[in-house]
Amino acid sequence: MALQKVEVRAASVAEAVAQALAQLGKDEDEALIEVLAQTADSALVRVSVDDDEDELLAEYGDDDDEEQPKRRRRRVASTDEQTVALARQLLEALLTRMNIDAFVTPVVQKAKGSDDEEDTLTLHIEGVDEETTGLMIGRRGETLRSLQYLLNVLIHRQTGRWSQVVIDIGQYRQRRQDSLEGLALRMAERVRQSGRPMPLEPMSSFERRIIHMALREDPSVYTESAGEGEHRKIVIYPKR
Amino acid sequence: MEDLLNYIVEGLIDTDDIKISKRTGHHSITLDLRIPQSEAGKVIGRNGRVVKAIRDVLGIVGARQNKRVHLEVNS
Repeated sequence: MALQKVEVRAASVAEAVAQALAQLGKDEDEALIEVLAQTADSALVRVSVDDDEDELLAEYGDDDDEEQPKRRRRRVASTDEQTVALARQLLEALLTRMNIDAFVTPVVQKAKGSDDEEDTLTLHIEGVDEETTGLMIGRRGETLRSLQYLLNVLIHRQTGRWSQVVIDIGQYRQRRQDSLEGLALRMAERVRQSGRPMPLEPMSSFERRIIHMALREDPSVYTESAGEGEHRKIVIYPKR
Repeated sequence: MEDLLNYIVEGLIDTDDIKISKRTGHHSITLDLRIPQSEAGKVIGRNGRVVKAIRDVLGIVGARQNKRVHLEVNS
């Protein structure tokens, strides 16, 4: 049977995924889930399944691996599935022991290109009250980063591999990305007007990347990072 | 809270020789974690990064009870 894709918009990622899976009559672990758009009160997801598993997987793998199709398949389909299941299970176990009632929805985001190692797994935490959400995010996302780091260390201890699992709660990541992009554009405008370089606040590599990307196409400025470790920050320079 | 700490530490080290005691004050909770010396590095991490993450996660639970959490790691 051919590939089936469903796109659903609902109030949350968890809800949209549940509706899409219900439409397809499939389980989460049989499907590829992508978040296409997300705002504070709505989420658009695409869920794809294929009854002929090989066909779906062929979309991902590159064909030069034909000598070991089985292995390739395992790595793309089952190992990844295992990591997703493990990551979710660990996060749910942590939340339970923190006395936080929440839904965890794993979402795999395909990287552009065919290398599945570049794919990212995001665990969306939903259903948590606003005050607790704020506590879990912490000042400038520091607590959320700690929870995420700890989860990745725990996964590493169990699998022996380093993963890059991202945790999001209350769409914090999306909101933070939007606000960083806004900041980048405003500061670039200032640099254009003053003709002077402008340093930004120190940020994590992840956040710096958002700024670099936001200004990459801007013909009037360029960005560089300066400083070490915790103090590393972006400077926006005028191009002449 | 001991439950949470125990679960985390269990996942980090290779022995179940883990002892946790808890003291609750008006404004704070102190958790004393005892593990074998050989395992301490795994809980602390490079530059204390792992133990910082553990403290932050415990801190969420404490903050919901309006208490600061102190975690001490001893062997």
